[in-house]
Amino acid sequence: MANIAEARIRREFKEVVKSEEVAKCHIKVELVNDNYTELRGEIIGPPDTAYDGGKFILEIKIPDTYPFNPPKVKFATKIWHPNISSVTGAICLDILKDQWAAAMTLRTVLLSLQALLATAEPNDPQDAVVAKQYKENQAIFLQTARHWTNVYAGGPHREQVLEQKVEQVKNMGFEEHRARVALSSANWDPERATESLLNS
Amino acid sequence: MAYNGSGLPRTPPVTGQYSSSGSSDNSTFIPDLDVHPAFDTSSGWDLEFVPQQDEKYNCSICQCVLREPMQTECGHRFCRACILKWLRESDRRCPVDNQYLDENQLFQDNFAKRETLDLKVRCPNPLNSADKEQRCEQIITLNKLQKHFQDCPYTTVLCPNCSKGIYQCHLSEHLQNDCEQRKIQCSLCHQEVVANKQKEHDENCPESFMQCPNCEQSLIRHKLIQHLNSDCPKAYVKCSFHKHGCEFEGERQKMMEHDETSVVRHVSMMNQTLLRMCAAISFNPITSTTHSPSSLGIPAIENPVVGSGAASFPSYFINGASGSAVPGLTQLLNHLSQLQIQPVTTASLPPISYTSMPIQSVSYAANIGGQETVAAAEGHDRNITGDEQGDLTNSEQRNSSGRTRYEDTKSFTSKPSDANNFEVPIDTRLTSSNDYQFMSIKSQNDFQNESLAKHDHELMILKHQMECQERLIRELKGKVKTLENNVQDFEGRNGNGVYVWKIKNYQKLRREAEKGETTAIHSTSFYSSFYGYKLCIRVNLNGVDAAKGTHLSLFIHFMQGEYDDLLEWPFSGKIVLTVIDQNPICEMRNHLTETLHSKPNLAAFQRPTSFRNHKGFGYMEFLPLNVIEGSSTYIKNDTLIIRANITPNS
Repeated sequence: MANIAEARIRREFKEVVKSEEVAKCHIKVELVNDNYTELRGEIIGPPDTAYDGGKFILEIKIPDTYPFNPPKVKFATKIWHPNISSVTGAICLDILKDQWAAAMTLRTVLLSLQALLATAEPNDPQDAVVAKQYKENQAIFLQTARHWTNVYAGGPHREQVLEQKVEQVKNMGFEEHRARVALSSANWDPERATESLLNS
Repeated sequence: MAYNGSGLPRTPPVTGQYSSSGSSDNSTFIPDLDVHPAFDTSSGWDLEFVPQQDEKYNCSICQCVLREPMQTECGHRFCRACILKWLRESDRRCPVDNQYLDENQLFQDNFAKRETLDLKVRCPNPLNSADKEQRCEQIITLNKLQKHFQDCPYTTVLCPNCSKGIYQCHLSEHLQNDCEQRKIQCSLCHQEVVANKQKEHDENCPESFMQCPNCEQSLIRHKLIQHLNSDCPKAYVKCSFHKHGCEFEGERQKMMEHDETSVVRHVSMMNQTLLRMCAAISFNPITSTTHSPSSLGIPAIENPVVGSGAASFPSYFINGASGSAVPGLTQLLNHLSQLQIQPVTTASLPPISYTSMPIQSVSYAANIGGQETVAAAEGHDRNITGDEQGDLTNSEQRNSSGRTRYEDTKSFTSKPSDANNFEVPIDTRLTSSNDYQFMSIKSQNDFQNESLAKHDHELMILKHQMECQERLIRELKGKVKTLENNVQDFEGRNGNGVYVWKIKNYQKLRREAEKGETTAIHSTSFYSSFYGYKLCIRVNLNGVDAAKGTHLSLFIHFMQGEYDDLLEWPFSGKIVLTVIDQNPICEMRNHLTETLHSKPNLAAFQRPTSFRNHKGFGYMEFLPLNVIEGSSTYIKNDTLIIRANITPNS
């Protein structure tokens, strides 16, 4: 019933564009191709979180069976979050899986993701390393998430100490992103980070 | 036309055992039209509502206005199709609040249904037009939409001829001017031609003009062969004497010149032919003359030069065509050639050697003065003293007197004066004799020309007669056609509402349908009773629309009948359609029967306003093609039999 999927997405698209949230620049949806099977979403990191001010791009793929099955969504922007893979951007969110309901829309999905950024669920993690840090060292987690938001999502809050550490490891001949991942995973201990980089 | 709008008065449920995909919602009770997406029951009303509908009327699954609204126990509304699909394909939870939900916890929300059907929509016709001019734009209450579609100028209907989708308002124009399958009359030959074959026809139209490849003259096609065969001055032809051996070939316009310059050759050729003919019929020309050289011991062929009396020539030629002409001509020709080659071969040619032998001529002249014919014979010893003695009247001697030899001349000299007396007349006679021979040839030619002209004339008369008869035949054919139609009409009336249609050449028609050449075929017309409704059956052997390639589609079309004025409209009654199982064992026959009940609000049952109602009524998926073709008994001897029973309510 691809035509139902397309017809619905068409309506939803109109709805999102007109919605309040778009008006406030909280969310945004763009078409990638003409037949409404691929879209590009954008959410703003919620205020008073580590993601505040960041712009996160989402890849949305609409299955033929939509809305009877959920859309496939993942982050295209790199993000440090227990329920989102820091490597692939894959999202662990019940409504995108078994808790999907046909009454949900692109708009509600984007808003749910925004909510997910505000309230992580470390007990049902997608990225175990991040979840561990979140549970064990909340302060470092917040710093790291803010740093990532600043670097990858254009967030306003710079973490200069972390930046220096990245620079430091980078100067040892490692690629910047790899250096950042290693440092983030090692709770910003440069020695452990370089070790893991050398062992990998 | 019958949309399957589930929010509207329902079309009859599908009764056919082969009719559909199984879900009663996706019934296939479909007319000529495509299912309009607006009436696609698999989701809500995807239309432009005026004013924009309140969100409460939206189905939160399809986001469109509720179609056949169902309400859950938890108080949420969905389109019937949407919620059933959701519950069957996903968890049994309400899509809105995630509460447990089972199918039996749904109920039909008639309140919402009434409210939604009272909403106003903008007619979505036509489906895919960016052109603002070509839009219906009318605003209609949702429950009137189906009715509106029947009249909406921008409803897409299938052309009954070419099955192309056409806006209703363009249909009559399409049928008249655009349809590839429409019949148009060739302005030249007045034959009816299917429009998409027009080009082909134009290239072959017997009345169209074309240029003669030789002389570039513009000609009507069917006259071209005649022109090439008899008129074209540049056509390459053989000499008309080619059967006599003339090998000349060339443009017709050069033939006259050739004929003129080759008279002698042609005559000589004709002579040869005649000789051969004579030989074939064992006819000896010489025996037919009064004085045969052979009777004097002279073989006719070795010494064909036979001096003949002037009077005997005409008889050969005047009888032109008769057998006696043959020897005459032979003699004549040989004579001619003799004249040219040996003008002084004396002994054998006494009558011709006149110039050099005046004396000899005397005696001969004396002879022929008494008798017409003289034969020459060499080696004849007879003394001509008898001649000297003036015994010219002696008939016995007369025969031999002409055959003189040189030594005989002495005896002539003794009476020179006599010879001188005769010399002049003999000369004259001989010369005129040659003239006569030419004259004869000429008269023969004239005769032949005259005969040719006569034949030409006769040919023309015959051609004219043939044209008259062709015209007559055409008229008669037309009459026969009318009568055939009448007979067919009568047959159709007498079935009392039962009509059996044998579709012969099934395989061929099926292939044509598959290729899209002739997708729909219509039966001949029939009547529900003698003075009843006139109808015909339409079958799409390869299906139509959604059933294309999978099912046989079967429809009934009403037609303009003679007694429409007496009948009640719209038609109300029962129509039974059957595909006949032709199994020879009666018990094994499994006819496929469907019964239709008329729907008075459908266009298909209204009084036809055209020759045949464009809107039909029947089944798009009457019977899967693999059932027909898989079994050997529905198609027998390449024939498919369809029966229709029409029972009007009286």
